[in-house]
Amino acid sequence: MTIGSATPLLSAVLAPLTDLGRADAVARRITEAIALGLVADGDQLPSENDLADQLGVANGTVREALALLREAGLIETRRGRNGGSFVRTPAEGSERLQLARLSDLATVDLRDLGDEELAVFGTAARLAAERAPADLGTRLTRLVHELRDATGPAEQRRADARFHIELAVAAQSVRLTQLAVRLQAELGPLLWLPAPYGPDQERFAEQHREILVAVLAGDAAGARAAAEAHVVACVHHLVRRHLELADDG
Amino acid sequence: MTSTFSPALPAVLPVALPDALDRLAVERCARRIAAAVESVLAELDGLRAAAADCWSRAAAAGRRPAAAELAAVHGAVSELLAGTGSRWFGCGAVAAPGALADAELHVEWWYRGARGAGERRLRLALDPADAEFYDYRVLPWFARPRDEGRPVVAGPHVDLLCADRYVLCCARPVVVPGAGFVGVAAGDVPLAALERLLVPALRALPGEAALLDGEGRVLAATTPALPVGSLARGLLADPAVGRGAVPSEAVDWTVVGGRGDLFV
Repeated sequence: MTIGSATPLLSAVLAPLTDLGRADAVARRITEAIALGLVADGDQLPSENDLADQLGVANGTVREALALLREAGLIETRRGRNGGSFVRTPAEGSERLQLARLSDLATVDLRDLGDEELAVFGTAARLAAERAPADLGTRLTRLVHELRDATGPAEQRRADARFHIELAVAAQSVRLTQLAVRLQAELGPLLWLPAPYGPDQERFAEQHREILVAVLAGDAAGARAAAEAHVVACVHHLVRRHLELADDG
Repeated sequence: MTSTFSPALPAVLPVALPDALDRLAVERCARRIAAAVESVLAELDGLRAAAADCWSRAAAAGRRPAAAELAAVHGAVSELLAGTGSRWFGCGAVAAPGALADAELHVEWWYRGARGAGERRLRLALDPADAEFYDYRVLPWFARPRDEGRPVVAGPHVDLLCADRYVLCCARPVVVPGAGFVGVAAGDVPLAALERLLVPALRALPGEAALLDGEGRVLAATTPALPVGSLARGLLADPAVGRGAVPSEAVDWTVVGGRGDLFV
């Protein structure tokens, strides 16, 4: 078999690489950082050179990525002495965008997003129960409280995402952590919309607490079950909201 | 929405609608879904005609076309893939064994590139000796049009060939006078794209409803309790649940529910 004559499996493996260029990958990283609230509205991005160095790509690739982000309306670039690229995500605008996104997505897409989260978060919870570091309880308990007490979508999103990502970190898995970051960047903004669209934050915080209790007890099966139940609740919420929005639209 | 019964309906409907009225509503929904299926299949008209042309021209000259001649369908393929708001992810013509002069099997298939990068031609291993031999003769989107002479909407399945999509394959037989069945004209539609047609029909029913395929797999639903792609075979046999077969020869689909909640 030669590489030239693509076979079904080979083309499946190669597809993501041929379709997703390096610029897309860079743009996605920056989009994730914005979605997770790691950089806020008005923040200045590092210079083209610095970004290229940090990410290990050519300057041209960064330039292409920034053009993609500009096109998506996520950054704006100013010229001159105080110029540079600035994050542009006014809360209201991005929430309107997410509502439109939730309305546009098909329930089959939401289900599939949930399937991936089920795999990643369920496994992270299980492994965290087996591998959790001693100080995990303190840190994650604080994040449970942060979610319970959060005011507004931005705080809710940050507290929720950090709990999910910290659990993957506690699982001691770099790959699971990377997947968790990507998933939270995608899910968080869809989920934590302003009232009345967001989920019941107290209920979600309580579910986080139940997962944490199982993790800290070293109960791997219980932690996975609680994490999976949480993901199912999250997908149900998204599908229900999607159907309502589709009706209104 | 008009109903022959509407003048007789009280202003406030009783909690339990009469069974006959329920059945009518579910049947109306099933007809709406059948119409959606037919309209999607009708979009393959140009592609089917272009493929039939290849064989008709050759037949008129008393020969079978060569595989290269099937490239003539590319115009119709482009029209489908590039049309505004196109729901098609990939499409093409697939030859019946022996229908071409110089190839036992042949797939003339194109799919959409990422971010409007144009179309790409699909290359497949069609040599039975190849470990990755793609034997489309046994796949439902080819076998059913061949064996039953009717269009088919097969799937959904995760498509490993073109892209990471969850698709339905829509296929119509290509039949040419003098040559008989020479292949299919077909295309892949992501289920997500079809959902826009299916869910509004289900939402028009007063209660929770779902659309199931022949084996009870959920194609669309108005409740998160029935995730798309999961199996809900029980609903196909549940006497407490309303049912309406989708009246289209291309599918073996059933609308279930329509009154109250599907799961109490």
